[in-house]
Amino acid sequence: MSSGQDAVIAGVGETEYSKRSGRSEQRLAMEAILAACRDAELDPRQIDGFIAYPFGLDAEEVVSGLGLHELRVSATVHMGGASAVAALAHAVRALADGTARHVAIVRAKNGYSGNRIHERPSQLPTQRLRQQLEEPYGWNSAAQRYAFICRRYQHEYGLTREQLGAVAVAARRHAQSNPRAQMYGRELTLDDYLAGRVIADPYTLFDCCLETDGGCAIVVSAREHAIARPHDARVLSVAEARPHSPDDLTNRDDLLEIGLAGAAPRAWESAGVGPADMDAAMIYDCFTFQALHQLEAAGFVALGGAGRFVEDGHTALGGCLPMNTHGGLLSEGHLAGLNHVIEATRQLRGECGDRQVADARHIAVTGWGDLGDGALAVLDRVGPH
Amino acid sequence: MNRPVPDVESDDYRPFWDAARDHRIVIHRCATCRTYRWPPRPICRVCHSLDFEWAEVGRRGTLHTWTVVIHQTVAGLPPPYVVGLVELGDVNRVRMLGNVVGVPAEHLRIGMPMQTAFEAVTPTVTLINWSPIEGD
Repeated sequence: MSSGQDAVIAGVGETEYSKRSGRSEQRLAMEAILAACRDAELDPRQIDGFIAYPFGLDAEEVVSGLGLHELRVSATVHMGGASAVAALAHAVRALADGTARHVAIVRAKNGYSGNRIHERPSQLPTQRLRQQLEEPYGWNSAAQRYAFICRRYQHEYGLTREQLGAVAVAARRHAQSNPRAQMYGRELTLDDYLAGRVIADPYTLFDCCLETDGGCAIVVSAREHAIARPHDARVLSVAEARPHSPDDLTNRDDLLEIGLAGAAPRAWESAGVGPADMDAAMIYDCFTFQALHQLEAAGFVALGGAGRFVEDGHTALGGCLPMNTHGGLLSEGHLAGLNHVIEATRQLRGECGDRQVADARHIAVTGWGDLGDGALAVLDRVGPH
Repeated sequence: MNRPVPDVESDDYRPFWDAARDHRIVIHRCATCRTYRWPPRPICRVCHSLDFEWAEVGRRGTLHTWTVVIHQTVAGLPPPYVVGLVELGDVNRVRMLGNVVGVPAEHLRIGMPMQTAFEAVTPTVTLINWSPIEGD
């Protein structure tokens, strides 16, 4: 990409994150978009691209609500929690070919007061399979499904409760420097973690991410059309991939084979940098083990080594690879990983205060969803254009 | 509220649930290259043949992974219960999901030999559950 066509994350914004928003998901989405546009110093009517999340605000609602002049690009990305990162690729392409100048991506939900994750109807593909072969046996939640993968990993590589707990405790510690986090002001010790009630063994309460009411949004802009900042977050590369049977976990050849392992080498090659060049990583932490699994699949740690890596403190602030400095889905809130993109952006801009990673220049963001779809984005810091 | 049951009249699955009622297991086998597959698919991923037959397979396998569900997520199915994935013994890499019964959860081990434990949950619906093979 020539610099004139660079895509930067020009605006980020969100509502408060809570257990009871008291307003509709559509309203939350609009608040978030307005906040992102304020950050980008952009008239919302200038948005001319929208990448939607399934079951969320759609392009028509955005056009109607904001009175957009002209929406030139819209698409919906069906990759569950990997959609936020995968959406960046669609935005970048639309900007690079000149179709659009300002592409919005939004996540908004009443994930606690509305449809709680473990109670809502499944949003996975191939519903018929779920109704025929899975729900009759009481296997219908993400925790139950991903517990299968975690146990296989424990069997093949070994993984202790303390190592899983280290992921949860580190996320909670980072959230203490993030007033926006749902778990701000609520410390978690390893003893607290170990005393957590079982949800779907081996997963206990603190292995599971939060359920959140709130909204967040970003505007990805062609750099030449974005306001100039001292430091901007540029999208260097994005790649997505799926495991071999993406709609079915049970008969996947290898339960430990996930989409991210296919996406990561492509993202690194296209970016021209590698895992060792990253100053931080925002890893889609729907559950503790899924974060560990992705650290390996993205190439940060050798297979089997992630538990030890986190337990030894390498992913804490001050470590060699600070992970989820906002607290992640585990402790900031579940905004389907768009909050990870936002945190990476603020880190690259140097806006993170007490949790700022010193001189952050490169940050990787992963997405995980729908039984193992994966995406990786590499962002870097650029100066004024 | 009653537990969820499969739609045993559904065209894609009727032979499977009919067989389960007779305490047998049948799955898809490609009529061209003979590759077994499960769950049902309209096409063979190996040779792309659209032709398939329902083929009976053995009722034994090994425990591939499992979870013990403690937090209830399905109306009519109060925890605790175990959901296991059993890899069938006589066909290559075909696995079946089911509840694992007749064994304390703390005795479960990956690789444990398992056999079917059919459970009639209604007069028309028999589910395929699994229990350890005694003596193993």
